Amino acid sequence: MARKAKTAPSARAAYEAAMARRDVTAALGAYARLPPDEKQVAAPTLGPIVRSTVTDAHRKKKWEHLRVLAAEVQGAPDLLTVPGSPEGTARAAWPLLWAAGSFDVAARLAPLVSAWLGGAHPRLARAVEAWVKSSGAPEASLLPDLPGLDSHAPPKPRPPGKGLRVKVPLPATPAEAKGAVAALYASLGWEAVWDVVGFQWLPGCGAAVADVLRCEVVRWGVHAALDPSRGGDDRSQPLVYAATCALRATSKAAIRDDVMLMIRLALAARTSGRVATEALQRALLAAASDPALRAIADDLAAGLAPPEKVSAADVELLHEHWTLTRDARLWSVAIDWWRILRQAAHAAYGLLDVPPWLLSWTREIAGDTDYWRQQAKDSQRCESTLLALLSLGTEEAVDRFIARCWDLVDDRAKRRVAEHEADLLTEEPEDDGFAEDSFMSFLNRLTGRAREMSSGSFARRKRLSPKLLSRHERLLLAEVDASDNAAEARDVIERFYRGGGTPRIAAEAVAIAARDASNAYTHLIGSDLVVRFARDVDGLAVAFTGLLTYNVPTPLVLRFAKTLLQADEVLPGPRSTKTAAAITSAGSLVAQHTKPRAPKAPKAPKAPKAPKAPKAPKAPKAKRAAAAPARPSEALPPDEPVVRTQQPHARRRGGSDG
Amino acid sequence: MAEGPFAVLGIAPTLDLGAVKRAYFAALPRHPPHADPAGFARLRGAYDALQSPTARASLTLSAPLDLAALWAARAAEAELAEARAARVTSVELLRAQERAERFTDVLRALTLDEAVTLVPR
Repeated sequence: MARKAKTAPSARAAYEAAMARRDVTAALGAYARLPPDEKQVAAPTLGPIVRSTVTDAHRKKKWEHLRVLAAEVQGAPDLLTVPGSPEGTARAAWPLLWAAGSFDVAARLAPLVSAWLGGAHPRLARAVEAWVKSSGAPEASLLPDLPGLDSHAPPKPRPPGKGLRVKVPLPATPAEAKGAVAALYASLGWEAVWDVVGFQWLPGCGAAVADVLRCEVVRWGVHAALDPSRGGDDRSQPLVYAATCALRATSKAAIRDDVMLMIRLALAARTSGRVATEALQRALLAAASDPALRAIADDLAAGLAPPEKVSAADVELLHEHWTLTRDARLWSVAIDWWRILRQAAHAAYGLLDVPPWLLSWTREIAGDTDYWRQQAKDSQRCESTLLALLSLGTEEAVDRFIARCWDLVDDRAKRRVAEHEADLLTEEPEDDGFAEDSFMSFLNRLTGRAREMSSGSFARRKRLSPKLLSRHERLLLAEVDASDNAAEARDVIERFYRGGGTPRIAAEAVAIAARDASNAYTHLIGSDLVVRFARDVDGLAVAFTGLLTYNVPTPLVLRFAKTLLQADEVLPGPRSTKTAAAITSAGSLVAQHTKPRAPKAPKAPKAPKAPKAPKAPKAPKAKRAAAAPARPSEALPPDEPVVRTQQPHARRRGGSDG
Repeated sequence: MAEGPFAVLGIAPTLDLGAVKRAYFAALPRHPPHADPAGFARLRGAYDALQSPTARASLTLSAPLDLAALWAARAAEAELAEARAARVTSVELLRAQERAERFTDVLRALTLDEAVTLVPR
């Protein structure tokens, strides 16, 4: 009661405010909340205003406003009632009936109309009543003949395809489904079958009915494709839809013959057009989803020729096929098509990004030993697929391929890859339309691997890419620390040294050797480093700077400095600031260590030996250290002075390769 | 030119082994082994060739595609007759729907006075 008492004043205030600003909709909302006694007072004022607003909105065809008014008025029909005039009431309720927007609202308003209409115009009253009761779909015989409504006229022609929206009741059982699709086909044609079944029935029916519907769509799709009045792409379009349904149908055996016929039709109708290609691919996809037809679908798909104009969707369909059957031959086809697409895109509007699904697919294929074993049987095919892998291989994919499958590739293919690399080196980078930089880098890495394999020096060692090396630097150092013996440590260092393609990484390896391996070994790989970069002034400069940073025995650094100075003389050319600085410091280091010694003073005649003084007692070690600063050369054998320019731990801060 | 196994059996290419069997046993009385050994051998050869699913599939794919014959065969199927019978129902349904839509479109635009004038009693 208290709540009611509280609501009434606020409803009254809202009602009065709405009336003051002549907002009929708000007034109706507030009116609904008024207590009955106040409604009786308000109705005579509000009623005429509502009726005139309705008439006005109807005249102006404001259907949305009328719909809102109908929703408000349905709870207060007394506002439409004209005292003593049922005709006036019907006249006010009529527009709201048609604009109600919902048949529930219309059903509440209908009695206001039919109270008068039933007596005055029984035929119209019956039609309106049937219309409301059947939710807008009464029997045709109950509707009166209106001008322009000829009961014998055929249904209006409708545009075929997706624009078609026919409301046909959903079949409830599989038996009904079969007949309903046949009826649709017979009365409206193939487009209606696809449209009604695909968009109206399939989403709302049970699994059994849906399966029959799909099988029926396949049947009528094939039927439409056989139609002699159709040709080319027009014939293939039904096959596209039919194959889509066939892929999702669970009764594969029921449509097996239809799927085969679909493939035959698609093969026969194939004109390399877009739709024809899609039809064939989808038909093969549908066949691949049936275990009994999978092998034949794979064989056909693996031999597919590219369509006239390859689209990304065509390539994606190959991927979809592969996800069903995992037949790696499809990847080769997809890559061929992708290259064509990419070339076309390059000619038209620039480079095309490789889609993520193609990259991940390539990654999987790169590590698929079974596939590469198969490929290795045919050197030519192996070579072309290898080049295809390179053309879009990600670094990870190529690493995987090298780690697992490189040994499977025959020598001829390896040689061809190397030749291809040489060809590419002489070409302009933009001629081919591919991302040549990455292609070249992958080729380089592969041919580098090929050389290693042929020399046999690293046949059993895992190869690491420079990028991975920088990431694994810490790990390698930890490996060196964890080595049980010097040979093992050397092995780790050598792997690090050989794997690194840049002077900086190689210099780091030498530095680690200086710290952890024997002097002889440090000299060995240090000398190798000098030879390796002898013709590369910048590389030597970077390595020299790197060696200066670390605790490397001076003779090695000196040798490096000399080589750098020689290379600078022999190979003239513009030098970067860093290289010039390195050359200067190499010059000063060499000068410092080759300073001519002052001529020795002539030997004085030997003095007779003085008797030995008795030995003083030895001071403790710590005291000795404090008394005299240690010389760097003390830690090493007498022939190996050390250049110490920085603390050992500072070495780890250098991240770049120069 | 040698006839394909499906043609020997007198059936359209199919993957259905049951259909192959039925066709074989239907043709057998026409080529009894004792009376027509050559015909029987041909029939038996075709039947044997179609035993494996892969063979049926590849022979189906390689069989010549006579679109007109296929269309005729399809059109003659019982489903089409069924569709024709169902057509009446379907068209009636559409016609009723069409009329209802038109009825709504016409009447909603009229006032009650105009509607009663338009619709005969």
